[in-house]
Amino acid sequence: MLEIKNLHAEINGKQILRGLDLTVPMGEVHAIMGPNGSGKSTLAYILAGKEDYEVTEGEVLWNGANILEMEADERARSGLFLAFQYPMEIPGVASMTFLRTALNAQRKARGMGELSTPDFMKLVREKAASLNMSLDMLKRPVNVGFSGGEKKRHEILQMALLEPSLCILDETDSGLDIDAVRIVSDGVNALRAPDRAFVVITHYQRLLNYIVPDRVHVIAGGRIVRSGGKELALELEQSGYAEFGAEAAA
Amino acid sequence: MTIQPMSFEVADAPARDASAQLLAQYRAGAAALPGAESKALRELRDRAIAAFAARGIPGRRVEEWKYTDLRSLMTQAFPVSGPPARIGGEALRAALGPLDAVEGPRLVFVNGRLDPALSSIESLPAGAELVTLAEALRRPADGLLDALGDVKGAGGDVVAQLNTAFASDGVVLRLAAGLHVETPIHLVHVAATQSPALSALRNLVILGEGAEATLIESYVCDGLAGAQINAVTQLVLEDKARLAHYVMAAENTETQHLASTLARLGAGADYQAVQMAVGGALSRLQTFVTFEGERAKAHFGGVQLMRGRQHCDMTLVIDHAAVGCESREHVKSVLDEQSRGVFQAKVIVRPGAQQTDGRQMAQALLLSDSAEFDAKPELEIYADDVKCNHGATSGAIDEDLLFYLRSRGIPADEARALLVQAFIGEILDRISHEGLRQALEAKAALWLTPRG
Repeated sequence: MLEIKNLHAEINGKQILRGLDLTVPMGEVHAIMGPNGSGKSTLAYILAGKEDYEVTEGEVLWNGANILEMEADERARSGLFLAFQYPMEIPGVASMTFLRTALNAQRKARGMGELSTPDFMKLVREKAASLNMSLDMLKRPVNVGFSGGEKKRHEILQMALLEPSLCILDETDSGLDIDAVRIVSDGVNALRAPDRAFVVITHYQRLLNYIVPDRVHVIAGGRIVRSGGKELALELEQSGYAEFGAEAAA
Repeated sequence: MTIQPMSFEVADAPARDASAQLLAQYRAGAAALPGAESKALRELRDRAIAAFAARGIPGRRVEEWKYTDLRSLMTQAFPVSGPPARIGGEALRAALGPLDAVEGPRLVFVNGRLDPALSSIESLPAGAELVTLAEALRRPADGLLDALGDVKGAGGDVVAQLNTAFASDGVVLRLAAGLHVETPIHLVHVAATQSPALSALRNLVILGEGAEATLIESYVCDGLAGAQINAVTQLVLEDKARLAHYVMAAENTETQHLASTLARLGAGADYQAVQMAVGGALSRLQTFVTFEGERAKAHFGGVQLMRGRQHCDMTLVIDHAAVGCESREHVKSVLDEQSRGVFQAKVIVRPGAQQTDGRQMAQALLLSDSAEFDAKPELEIYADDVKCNHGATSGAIDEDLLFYLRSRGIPADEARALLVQAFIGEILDRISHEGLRQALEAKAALWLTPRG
């Protein structure tokens, strides 16, 4: 279970989160919606452990452990995964090397041995096929020369390989056409499980037609200002975020 | 060439410094050098030591040595070659590390002298004629001394002159026209540091017209104490010859390594060089390329992996004396702690060397705030139809990339190592011999492994 309590955070002295509370039980998918600048991506980065942000108050418990005390890589090895809004291109690092290094680091942390090359290749081939990704793509350096859609699929591929227990998706639908949204959503839905929790951050309701959430939360001014069932997303699609003090999305 | 008067007094240097020690050693030891009975060879050596004596070890006031103040870095000279040293096969394997896996003909020199027991050249094909320098000097064939004396490409560089005076061994290798040698020819130098020595190695490699080969030079240490190396490799590529030349300076952190590569390229020749320096207290790796025939190519890639107070200087002089030649120099320097990396590249385009295409790039990855990288490009252009440019970048590890890798569970040290390997990979990827490329990648990975 993820429990965020009274979280305050700032970057370069500018306060972004102002007392955010959120609880996501295991097995559930919670959507976080909100206008631009409301703190959605900040929340994702803080959960993943990006050092640019300073947490000034509050705590984040993942299965009872305070993850704010952990380094980014420790958090990942304890089950947290962030699918980036803008995945990084890493020239010179082969995608396969990257995937294998990450998988083996996580297996090691779980007391498992390294996968043999054939077993690793088989696993990647399997997961890539289900996301409609060609292995040729993975012969390139990490995300280099990937289209926006390919980068997002690559994020979900990593998620499928690493099998995290807490998945945070940051605007995974941005820049995707409708077919790509469907492929990515199918990939996410295939991972839904009783021992896994999801936080799906999105500006638009569209993604939630495919990844149907258990709960929807509205974030504005760095706090959760309203929570409800999946119908809340449809309501927001109609009314926009204006009632939460936000300007209409540009 | 004018013969300078013999004088062993070095202007402007105290009597007990390394220059004076070297001159004293020459006086005492020249008679014991191989081939000393040959008058012509003695004269060649005397001229070289006189040229050195006139200037002594260069300090930072000498423009070419501005960033590598050899006079203050090399305050004493070890005994030249010293007593013969032996090492066992096991020690050689340990010293070579991943490089031991590279197959092919191999000559191993220990403290400047061939060790026949560790060497094997049976796999050299017919048409490849190889003798050790020591052997060659005892019965100098026609033209050998002229070839050795012809270091004008180095512009009278004193380090090369010192080598001419002291060289005790090395190889003289000639490949017949059209000969393709498939396996790399590996020259290994091991400094056996239990008896500290200054080893002077001299190689002369001549590729006949259209010949093709891969030459590897590896410099390693057996033991942790200091050593000094002065190596000169002269390469002559006749028309359309192709040489891949890889130099790996991987000595211990007490060792000082001075190396000069002089390459003369005939028409249509292709010279591909990669040099990697990892280890060594001081490495000055100089490369002098002279384009003598038209439409030849010289591509140089350098990798420096330095930490502590290590200092690595890759200095190149590329002399475009013919039409339509192409030169590339790209150095990547990874500097941690208080280490210092230097890249100097001077491109000279002679009058009439039209359609010259020369590019230089220097890139440094600084892993610490106290590391320093100096890049000095120089263009001297006397022709008007020329494309030449240069660039330099330096920066720290990209924190966003590091975060991305760590967010997948990759520990910080490993993530940093991946990014450093990616940085130097662009150079190492040019090594066409797969076994060697893997060996150098492994060597780099060892350097990157966090030390307990």
